Formats: sequence, structure tokens, C-alpha cells
Amino acid sequence: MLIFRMALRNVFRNRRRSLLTGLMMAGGFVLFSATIGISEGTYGSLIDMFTRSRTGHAQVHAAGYLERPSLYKAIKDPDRAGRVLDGLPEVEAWAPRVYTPALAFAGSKTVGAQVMGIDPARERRAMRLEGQLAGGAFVEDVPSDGVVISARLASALSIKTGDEFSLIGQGADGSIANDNFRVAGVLSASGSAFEGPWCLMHIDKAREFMALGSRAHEIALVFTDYRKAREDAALVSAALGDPALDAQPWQVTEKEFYQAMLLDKKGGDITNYVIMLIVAVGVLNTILMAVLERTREYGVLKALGTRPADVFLLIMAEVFILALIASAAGALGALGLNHYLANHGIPLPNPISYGGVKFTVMQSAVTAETFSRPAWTVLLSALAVGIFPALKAARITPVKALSSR
Amino acid sequence: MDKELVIEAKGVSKTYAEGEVKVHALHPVDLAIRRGEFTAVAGPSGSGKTTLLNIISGLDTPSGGRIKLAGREMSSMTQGELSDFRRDHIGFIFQAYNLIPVLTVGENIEYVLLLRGVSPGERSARVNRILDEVGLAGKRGRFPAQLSGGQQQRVAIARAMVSGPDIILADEPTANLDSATGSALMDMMRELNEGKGMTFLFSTHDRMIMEKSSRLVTLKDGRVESDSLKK
Repeated sequence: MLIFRMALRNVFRNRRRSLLTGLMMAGGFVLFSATIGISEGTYGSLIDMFTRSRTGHAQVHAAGYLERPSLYKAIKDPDRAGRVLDGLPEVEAWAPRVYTPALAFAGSKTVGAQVMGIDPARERRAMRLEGQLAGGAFVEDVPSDGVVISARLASALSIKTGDEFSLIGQGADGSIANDNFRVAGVLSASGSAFEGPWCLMHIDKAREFMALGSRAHEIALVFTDYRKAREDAALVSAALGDPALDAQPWQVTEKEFYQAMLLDKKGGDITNYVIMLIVAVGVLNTILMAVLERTREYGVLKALGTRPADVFLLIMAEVFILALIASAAGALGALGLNHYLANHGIPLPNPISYGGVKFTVMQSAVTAETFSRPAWTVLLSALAVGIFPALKAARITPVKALSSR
Repeated sequence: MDKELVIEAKGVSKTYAEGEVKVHALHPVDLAIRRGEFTAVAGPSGSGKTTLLNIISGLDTPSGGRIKLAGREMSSMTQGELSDFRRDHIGFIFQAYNLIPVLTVGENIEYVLLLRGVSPGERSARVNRILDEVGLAGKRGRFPAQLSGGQQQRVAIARAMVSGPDIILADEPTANLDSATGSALMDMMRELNEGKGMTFLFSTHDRMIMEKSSRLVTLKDGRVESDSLKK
């Protein structure tokens, strides 16, 4: 106990030096925390933008569809799956979809297209598809020949809102699928989740076109908390209780986006750890200086019979106390800064538009990690840099230490 | 008679290497200190008295010879064992007091008891008793910086004595004090020596200490020049 009392008093012995060292650590904490907060907030917004533009937080497919999509790999009873999903509080909304490739014709032009059948009412609750319209109207709530096409398909076929075109594909029953459609609306050319030659139509119209009956290829899910997408997807899988169905979170369905995001986050982490390394070197310098100044004292302690382990503990306790106080101060500072950044954010010089949403400010998201990671980093890095001076003090030869000035 | 021996040094020598040159700080020295003695090791600067005290206390290792302290051979001890041995058998009084500045007077004294695993109640009682004996009863909560040099050395004496060591080694204990304070402290230590039978070994070149000691060993150029009992 006396060792810790000594350590505590030693921290306040050279107040100016302890204050500067503490401020350095607290500053590192605040910076680290704000970076995590901004990163989490920005990625939170990006994930929300991305997932709500089309993907959803998770998707249910027939087993094997994700690896190799096919017209025939369909969810046999999407209504039953829907009833199960309605009973899960974690699921905020869901929307069934069907897909098939087709050939699109308009005048003398022919182009490959991707048909997507959607339930407009359900999509409206779950996604922001409608917001991606550049002009015209969205797919009607009742089945009709009015479809929404992507800018790329409109350009390839040289058609616009009100024009007609034809689609030819393959029905699930082996028949030739063909029908005429009217362009009700065109999706935006930039910042849309539908960059390819897409054609969106009412799900019942698409099912009729594909001779798919009541089946669906995909059920897109939106959870109440996107951060729990993995757990909730597993929960959905368990609740569906059908080995023929597979629920996967957005991290799996959009692997490339997720990997790119992780890579970017790791880059940010490296920057943070470099900051903490600089702080740690400063702390090391301070502790070394303190140990050097107190060489004689450590010599006295050892002469009196203090074991090297206790001298080591004394220095480590000092470092820990300083780091703890700095972390507490840093946490307070970080709380204030993150609160400000969560409410006001940092305006983006060039706002980003995606999926019908305009991203204008980078806002902080305050989570437990915003404080826990900087706290652990400050404490552990301080303890790590404390080891060398503490060992140095523990190994002091009393007779040499006592003759030092 | 061996039982009464606290220190038994035989042929203890110390040689330092300064570059290519070897400095003989201590030529083979024999010294026996009996329990209850009040001995001064005197000599001019560089005579080897501090080196001898450092070796006796286990703070330094001899280049040759053997030392027994409280019946135990010290030359074969590891650093850890020496550390424990110092804690259990030796009290130190330094020229520069060497109190721990962040500990109060009471805590400085208590520290050595804590190292020896004395219970909190016993520690407190012994600290109070020893502070009373050295005339610092009201200063328990003060920090060293709040005391005069003489008072600080009294605390150092109390710290050295509180655990009841076999011997107290004092390296120039009055060198930083004025003559009146130094003399008063020596009288106090003499009283403790006579009253409690505690063994003291001083290194000094202070004539007053030499006069007040019961045995005087003089060193010159690392050799024992004389060894005389005064009473």
C-alpha cells in the first residue's frame, strides 16, 4: 500500500512535468477517440447509404444462390419466410425480389439487361430506391407495364420516360419470356446503386414475365441496428429453420465494399497507433528523466532491503496512475469533442450523393469503442514504455546509486 | 566468544580498475566487531573507510576475503539474498540523511517495518515509540523537507533503529550538520547504544565522533593503521 502511496505522491512531485506528460497522453486519447468516433460515424452513414440504396443489412436467398445466381434457385415460399420475419423484433422491414437477365430492344437497338422485380410498397419501407430517380415516376404499387430503368439502359437503348421497349428472356418453365414495357422513370446516372443496365418492375409483373409463380430470389432485410447485422442474420437463419434458405449479412453479400472499408479503417488505425507511439516516446522520455533524477532514492530503497521487483512495481504504479488520470481527463475531453462532432460534424467540401442520399457532413458516432480503445491504448502503451525505465531502476546497484548526485 | 561477534571480516580487500590502472581502495583488512560496540572507523578521504562500510553492509562486493555478519557468510549471497539480509540485519544512517521525500516522517520509519512484514498495529506502535526516543514525537506527519537537517538525521537514526537490527552502519552521519547538532545526535546514539545495547559502526573523519566512540579503528591508504579500545 505504501508503495502505491509513494507512486501517487511521486506523480504529483514534479507537477509541471506530470501535467505536461498527462496532457500529452490525454491529447493522444482525445485525438484517437475523435478519429474513431468520426470513422465510426462516417462508416455508419456510408453503410446506411450503401445498404439502404439496394443491398439491405442482410439478404435471404435459396442456398447456393449467392455463389451462383440462377433463375431456378428461388425461395419457394417467400410468404412463409415473410411471416417469420414479421415476428422478429430485430427486423425493421423486408422486401422480396426476383431477378433475371434479359435482352432489351428499342427500335434497332438491342442490349443485355438485368430485370429486377420489386414490391414497391415494401421497398419504400426498407430502401431508398425511389430517391434514386432522375426523372419520371417510380414503379407503381400495382402491377403494370410501367418500369423504371437505369440511366445506362436508357442511354444504350436511346429511350426516355414515356417510351416503349421490349424484353426477351427465359421463363422458369422453359418458355420464352417476352413482353413490351413503358418507361415510367429513369434512375440517376451518378450516385445510384443501379449503375448497370437495370430494369425495375413490379414483382408480380416480373414473376409473370419469368413464369416464376409466387417464388422469389431474394428477400432484402433491414434491421433495427445495422451494427448487429451479423448476429441478426444468424438469428434470421435460425428463425427460418430451413436449410434450403441462407441469410447473410451485408458484409458477406457485399464483400468487396466491406473489405475496402476494413482496409481503409486499418489505415486509420495505423495513423492512430503512430500518434500513440509518438505520445509513448514522450512518456518514455519523461519517465526516464524521472528515474535518472531519483537514482539515489532507488539506491536508498534497495539499500534498506527493497527487492528489485518492488522498485519495478513502484515505477510501473507511477506510470499506471499517470496514465489512468490522463485517460480519465482524455475521456472527458473526448466526450465533449465527440458530442460536438456528433451534433455538428465536419462539413465535407465536396458532398457525396449515393442511393438518393446526400452526405454533407462527417459526424461522430459515440460507442463504447470510442472510449475503450483509446483507454486501453493509452494504458497499455504507457505501461509498455514504463517497463524499460522500471527495469533500469530495479537493476540499480545501491552503492553506485548512493554515490550519484 | 564467537557468539558475540556481529562482524567478522578477514582479509577483505577491494581493487578498482580505472582503465589500465588498478586502484587498491582496500588492502586485505581484518576487523571484528562485537555486539554492543560503538566503533568509529576513521581516516582521511580516500583511506577506504566508506568502501569498508559498503562491503560490510553488502552494498559492495569485496575483491578478496570473507565477511560474516550476524553469523552468516555474506560473500556467497546473491543480490536478492543480500537485499533481504540488509533488510533483516542492518540499519543505515547516511551522510545526506537519504529520507524518501514523498513519505512522511512516520512513513519513512514505517517503511523498513513494512519490508519486514510487521503488522500495521505493531508498525504504528513501534514508530510512535522510536519517534519519542529520538525526540520527534510531534513530527510524524511532517515531510522531510519540512524538517531541519538535524531533525532529518534523527528520522534517519529512528529508521535505522526501528527494526532492531544487529548493527547500525553510519557513514559520516554528522558531516552535513553543525557541530552542536552533530554532538547532540552522537550523544543520543551513545545513549541508545548504552541503553539498548545496539551496535554502531561509524565511518568518519570528525574528531568529535572519534572522541565519543568507545573503539577507534583508523585506516590509512586502505590499511588498518590502528585499532584501540578507549574504555
